[in-house]
Amino acid sequence: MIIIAAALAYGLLNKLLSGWVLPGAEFISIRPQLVLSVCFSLMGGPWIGGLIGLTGNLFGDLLTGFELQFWHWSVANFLIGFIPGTVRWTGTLEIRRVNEFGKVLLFIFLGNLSGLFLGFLVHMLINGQSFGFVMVSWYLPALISNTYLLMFLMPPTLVLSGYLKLNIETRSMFFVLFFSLAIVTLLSAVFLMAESKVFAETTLPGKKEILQKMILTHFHWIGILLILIVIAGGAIGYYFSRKYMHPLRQLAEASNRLKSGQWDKTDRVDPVKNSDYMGNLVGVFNDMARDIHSREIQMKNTIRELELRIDKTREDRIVSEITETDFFKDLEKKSAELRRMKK
Amino acid sequence: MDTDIQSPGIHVVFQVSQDRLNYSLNHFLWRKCEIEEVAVEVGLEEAALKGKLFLVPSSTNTGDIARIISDGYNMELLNEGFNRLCEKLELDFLLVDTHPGLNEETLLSIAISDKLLIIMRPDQQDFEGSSITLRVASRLKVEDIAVILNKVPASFDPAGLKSEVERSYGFPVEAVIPHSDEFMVLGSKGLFCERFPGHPVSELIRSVAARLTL
Repeated sequence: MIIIAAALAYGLLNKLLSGWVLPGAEFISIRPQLVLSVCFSLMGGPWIGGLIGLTGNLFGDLLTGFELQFWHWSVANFLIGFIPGTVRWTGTLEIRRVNEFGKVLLFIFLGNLSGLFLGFLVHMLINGQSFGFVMVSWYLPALISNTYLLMFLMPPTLVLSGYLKLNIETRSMFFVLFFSLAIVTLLSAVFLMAESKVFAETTLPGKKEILQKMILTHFHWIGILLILIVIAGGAIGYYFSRKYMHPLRQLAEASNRLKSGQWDKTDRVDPVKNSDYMGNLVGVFNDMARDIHSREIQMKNTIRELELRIDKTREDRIVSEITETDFFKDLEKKSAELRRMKK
Repeated sequence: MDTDIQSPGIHVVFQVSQDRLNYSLNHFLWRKCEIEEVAVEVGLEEAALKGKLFLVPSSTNTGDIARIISDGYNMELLNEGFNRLCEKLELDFLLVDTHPGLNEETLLSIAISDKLLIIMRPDQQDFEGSSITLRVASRLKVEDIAVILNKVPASFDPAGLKSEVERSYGFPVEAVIPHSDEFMVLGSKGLFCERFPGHPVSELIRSVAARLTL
């Protein structure tokens, strides 16, 4: 039911937002509805995401009156919805770690990369356009705008849907990602303002074509920046995660083990190779855990010795209760006599 | 001989119905019959066995049990009964099954035994009880004392358990008999070694029996 509703919403948004294009660059449409198929794909698996993309796009085309004219775009939408969900096949059923965060973003990007490529390739073959032109003027801008939009919209959507679990690691990655995207947005705004100024001052004929070319160039730069900044952001996130989050997670897990008595004497948190607070903390923790463990073992041994001593005393008492009776003493004598006789 | 007068049970294993018996060990202890009159021959299916096997059952009648508990009986008479039985039936072996606790008839049975086998489960209660029995038995100068570990869970290491028990008691462990579902299912409704001759538990019981006859 929810899947059908999502597919209908996808199609409806396709129809309603078909006019949403980048101002001044009508060939680049803004499609936030992709969030639906990608989110369902990550949550419920690739086939669900793919079906929402496919049926949603077909429904949108029917509403617009295109019928099956743009069937290849429905296949492209299928791939955009399908591929992110395949991350589940690699064992990522939710995001808890920074590497899982990165992997999910990569799969979303790959979905767009292949889906849009297929769509534009068929479009090129049908319309007989040149490969270079379609790739540079259509494919790249669409890929960049989709990636940019999904990078912005997916993390909050995944937090709301429960796929992305917020913890110290994912929060830091979240922050780095938004910070990177904010820089890209700011830089592109500055570029656009500068270009508009240049454009306003020019008196050349065919302003529209010039503007288109400028925006296209601008878009390519944004794309390169986006990729660079996201890679740099990811690397910074990964570095911080390795340096601080990994030891912190290990410390948390080790504390739990220590608390529940599952600590082994060979257990320890991996030492951090620096002399800052984290290195110091890990070192102190390892020393403390070792001391607690050895004290605990010593205490257990003492208790066991005490118990044995108590048991022995109790046993001695019971044995003497039996052997001190007249019956037993008499039996002992008779038994000795009987055995002597037998011999 | 079933000297567990308070809670007899061996007759069930040999499928001896108390209805067809004229006398029980209780009757002998009340001087109503001779001990050999209590003994019933129990058939064995194993053709390879030579000789005869007799069972001396205790009464399962609740009135008889209550009377023995309240009035007691002459211990000397039980001792005489052991000797007379061996003599009259020309027994090679007299196996005495006792009450698990250390009451007077158990102590008497231990006192006159040539060999004592303590059958215990590997649990704390049995560890403690058996330790006391073993210490008392060594006071009574029983020459040959051994332990059999019974119903040992499959997850236990038999060799480790054997050496641990031998170390803490100072007596040999003759067999470590694993817990067996077949044994539980049979539920004392027959002799296990006859029903499951090839079973590992049967092999172990036979090995204990073989050492007894040495």
